[in-house]
Amino acid sequence: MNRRRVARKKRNVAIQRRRLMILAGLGVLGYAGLGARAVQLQALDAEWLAARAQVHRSTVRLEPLRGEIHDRHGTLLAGSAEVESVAASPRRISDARSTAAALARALDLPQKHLRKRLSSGRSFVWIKRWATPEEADRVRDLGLAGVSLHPERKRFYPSGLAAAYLGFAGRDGEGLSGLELAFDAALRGSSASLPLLRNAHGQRLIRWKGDTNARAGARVVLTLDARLQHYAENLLEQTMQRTRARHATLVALDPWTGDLLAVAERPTFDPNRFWLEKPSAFRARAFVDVFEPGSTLKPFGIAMALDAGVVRADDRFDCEQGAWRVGDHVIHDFKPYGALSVHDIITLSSNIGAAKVAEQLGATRLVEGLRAFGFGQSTGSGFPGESPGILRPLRESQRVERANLAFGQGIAVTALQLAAAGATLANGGQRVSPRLVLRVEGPGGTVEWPSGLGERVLSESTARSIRAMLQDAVARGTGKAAALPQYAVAGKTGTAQKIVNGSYSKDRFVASFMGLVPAQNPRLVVVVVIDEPQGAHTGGRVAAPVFRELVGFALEQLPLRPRGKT
Amino acid sequence: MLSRVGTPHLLVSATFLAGTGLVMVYSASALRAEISFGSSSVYFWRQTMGLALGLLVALLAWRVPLGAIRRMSYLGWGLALVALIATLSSLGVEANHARRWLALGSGFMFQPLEIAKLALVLALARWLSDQQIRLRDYRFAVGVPALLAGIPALVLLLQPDFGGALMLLLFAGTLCFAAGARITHLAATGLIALPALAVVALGAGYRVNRLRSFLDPWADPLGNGYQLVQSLLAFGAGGIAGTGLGAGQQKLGYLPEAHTDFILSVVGEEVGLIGVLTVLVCFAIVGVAAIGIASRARDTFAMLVATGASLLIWLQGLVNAGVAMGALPTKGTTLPLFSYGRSSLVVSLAAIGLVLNVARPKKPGRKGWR
Repeated sequence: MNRRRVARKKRNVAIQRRRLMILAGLGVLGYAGLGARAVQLQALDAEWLAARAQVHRSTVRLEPLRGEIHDRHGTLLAGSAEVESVAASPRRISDARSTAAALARALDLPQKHLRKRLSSGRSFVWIKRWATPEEADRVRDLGLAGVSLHPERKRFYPSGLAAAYLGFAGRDGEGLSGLELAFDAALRGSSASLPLLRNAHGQRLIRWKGDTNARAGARVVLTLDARLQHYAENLLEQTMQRTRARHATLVALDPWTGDLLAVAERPTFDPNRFWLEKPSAFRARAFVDVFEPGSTLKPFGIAMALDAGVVRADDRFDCEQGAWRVGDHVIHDFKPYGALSVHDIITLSSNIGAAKVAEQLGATRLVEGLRAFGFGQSTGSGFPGESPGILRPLRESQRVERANLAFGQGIAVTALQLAAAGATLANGGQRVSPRLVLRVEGPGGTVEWPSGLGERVLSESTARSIRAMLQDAVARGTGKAAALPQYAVAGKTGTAQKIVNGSYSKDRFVASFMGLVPAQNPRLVVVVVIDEPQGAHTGGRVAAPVFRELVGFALEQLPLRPRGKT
Repeated sequence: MLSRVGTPHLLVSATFLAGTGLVMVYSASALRAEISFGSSSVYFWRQTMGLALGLLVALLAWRVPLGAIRRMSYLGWGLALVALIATLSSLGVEANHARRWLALGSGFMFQPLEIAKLALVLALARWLSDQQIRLRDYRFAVGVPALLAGIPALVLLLQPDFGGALMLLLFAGTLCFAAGARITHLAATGLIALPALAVVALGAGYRVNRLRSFLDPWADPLGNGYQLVQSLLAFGAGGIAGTGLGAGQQKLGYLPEAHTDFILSVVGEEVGLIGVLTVLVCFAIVGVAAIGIASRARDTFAMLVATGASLLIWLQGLVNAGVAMGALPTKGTTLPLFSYGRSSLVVSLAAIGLVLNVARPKKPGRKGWR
């Protein structure tokens, strides 16, 4: 019996040994299986899985402060500031009534409106964007549950000058129109991207050092002179009241560099509150709106005829006593004249005379000449949406069109083109590209906008002789209202009938004036365009006085560079 | 194979696991601790305290004569059963819809299941060694062990803790197998038990969902499959070399239980395949070394104690790792020695102590198996 028990025990021990081996083997097998699973997950399927784990990753962009815009003397025209905005999470507010009351006191907002917003049950509402520092401090001191302050950037325009030309930047600092749009990339600078993790609680965690090399926004320095701009805008404001016109536009240009010293228009808008305005108010009219110039264009055709040698300044043309039939079309003068010299055709602004000079030049050369002055093409100012105007090629047989073109009909120009063409007469015959930006001062260096004189359009002597005619036009012709006591002024008026329903209107006009000053050593070219003035409507009565006022101020007050000869 | 592994392998691997476990617990729990307590190291220090207590208990389990342990084993089983039943009383603490915790006084909480595992191992070791010549008899070899495991398992089902109950039955079956019970008996019992377990398993909706999510976690990655999907993403994100210690992102609130049941996923993400394989190899070494020690034990009781204690480490580790990698259905279990949880850590270290106790050289003058 005992022996049997011992034998059974021994056999049992052998069984147990074997079983332990099996158990250990199973364990090792199990772990080996898991190891294989780990290889599958972490080596074979890793890419697929890791791609799905990426969803928690994001980046935050750290935007530098948007660059400032200055005038040529350093006056701030557009700046950026850090401000705070007040927001609320209505869901986290238990007592909307008392919260609304406290916020209404701190922010000077209607309590009723606030209570409605705070009771909305939404997770996020703005209470006040761009609060003042004092308001932000008051809200901070209140320490209300569910009310928070968010740092934001605000773009501000201290003077609101040249609003349509500077344009504006949106709430999030993105350029939306004008120069703010054209130079958006430079003004914005480069943002830093910081890779972020978002944990499951929605908190942002910075995971590793990213590229924090943010570059500050560049400073854009304009050619504008803030004082002249300010004066011009006030002047247009008064003109608008006096003439009850639809629009008024003014361009003042340095004929030697192309620097735009003032580009003004009325009506305008407040870029600090652009969202309240109609988008039609944002038009940079001097650059994008075209009009039929009328007589203001005459000097350019006549300049080409003089330069080509087909007429001389003292050649006389019969002005047909005010009515001349061309084909089945009759051209009229404002007043009937007999024989007039080319000089007097300009001075007295005879349409018939100008048409007869153009007849000598020929349609092709007339169009080519106007194109050489820059009409019908962009001036190269680089302004977004700048219009090239309209200048169609003519055949020699199109006699009526040729005659019309000679006194500024059948062509559409921008105020900017007219000023640039005037600058060519002023600087002795060379093309000049108007510029609105002097330089861009970025963190990596300064870029100057190219300036200076371009290709020659007409000889210096032709330019001088045209200026003499224009000087006479102001001294004793249609532009008397532009005359200044101290300086000789050269200029040309224009009174163009507007086309309404396909034919020329009898009571809607565009009055314009293009002038150079001082007449034989010009330092400033100014174009004034008044759209649909009521009452007095001629360029001489409406636009010329604006020129006189502005130039009077400019020559007395501004450090204009004495340049050029002649 | 078994004759060549023993105490040194066991000690090195177990120490490595406990040490790196502490580091990984810190990494996995820092954010959670910061959010809950305002200090990132709360769980780390708690685990360190658990480690200290566990080392004391392990020392005790190592030095106490096996005979004394044997005499106390049934009493221990009874006490563990009482503790399990107590979880159903007002002393039990409900968390996640289950009463698995027992609170004694203020602040001292433990999981009776962990103690019940050890107590069951000791009681079974005693029963199976006492009755080893009668193990040909179904009643002795399987019947009584089934009762020893089944009674606490029934209590566990009331908590409810299906996984814990299954673990106890698995332990019992394995020990019966090791003691030499007939395979046919074990297989028959298993076949009888299986339908019953299936009924219980599929009786609760959440278990069905778990099973379904295990079979295809991507079918509902934001619902039932969420935890497993997040775990798999962690493994995938880690790749071969890992994102670097502390640099994992799944633990940032995406992976639930990152510092406890799914700590291996954090290892996978931060230390990569290299880290996961290292941990798996260490567990395998602990298991094989402990079984090697068991095979050289002085008697059947000691052999069964060492085998049973080793199960607490390697079988649980196998289940935990399998769950984390989606190779086994989701079941809440700790990674012994490694994951956060003081009850588990103390009991795991006690198990290591028991294996070392068995490995102690025989006292001179005593020969052979009893």
